[in-house]
Amino acid sequence: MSDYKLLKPQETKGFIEPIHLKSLPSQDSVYDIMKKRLTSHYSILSQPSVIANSLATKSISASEQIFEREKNSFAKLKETLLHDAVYVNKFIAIMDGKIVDSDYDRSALAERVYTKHGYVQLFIGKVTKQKRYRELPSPERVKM
Amino acid sequence: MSLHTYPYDAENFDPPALILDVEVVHPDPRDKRRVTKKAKIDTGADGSVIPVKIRDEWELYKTGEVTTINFQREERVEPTYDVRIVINRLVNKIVEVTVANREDLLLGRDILNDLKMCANGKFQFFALEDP
Repeated sequence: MSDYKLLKPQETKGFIEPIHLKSLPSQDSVYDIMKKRLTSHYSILSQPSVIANSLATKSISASEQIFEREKNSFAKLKETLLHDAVYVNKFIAIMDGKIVDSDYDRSALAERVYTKHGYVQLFIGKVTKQKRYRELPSPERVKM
Repeated sequence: MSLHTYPYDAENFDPPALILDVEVVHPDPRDKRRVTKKAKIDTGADGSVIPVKIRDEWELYKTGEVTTINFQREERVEPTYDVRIVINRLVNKIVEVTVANREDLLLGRDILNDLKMCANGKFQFFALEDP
């Protein structure tokens, strides 16, 4: 996470300090001073993996937060919708905390939502009292 | 009506397994990313499974959650993702999948129940048909 900190503007504040000189330097010496001060900074920033990892971490956590938010919205709405004949046993798509569409067929629902809104982050849940189970029971033998 | 026959894969599986090529397509109608992968027919699986690599490379969003039960009856809450699954002219729909650290797909009954399937184990071929 220390790599991530280096990319934040507040962390780089003061990294490049003003140069106080007693005499007027040549253009080359100013360049050398600046280069020396920036070398360590650039050596980190110029590593694509550091930048990519930092951005990925940031984007995953943002995506996680949206997912949790939409999931919680679904959980809250579900309690009410279980008593609503329009929604019971249907899948509903939640976006920004609101129901954007519903259908008994999840595939058809997803198809419509992505066509209308594009590939946006949402939560699709089924309005049912039953917990959704998915059995994946097949043991596999690895052929050596 | 469309009927497709496939040979069993006896080269990579012992006993031979029902394997076919499927296309996994990004769920965004504007995104052209697609990849062809081997898929194993698994009538014992409620749902389909895709390689985790596809989720990571395409940065798929979580769209839901299910409790999965493996063959040892262990339960685990797992996120689900949407992808489009295309099988010749037989299947073309958005499917809610889970991910696993594997190279091929598992085709569960969420997809297979749209089809008529005849597995001829004796002669090592199977047929899929959209009835």
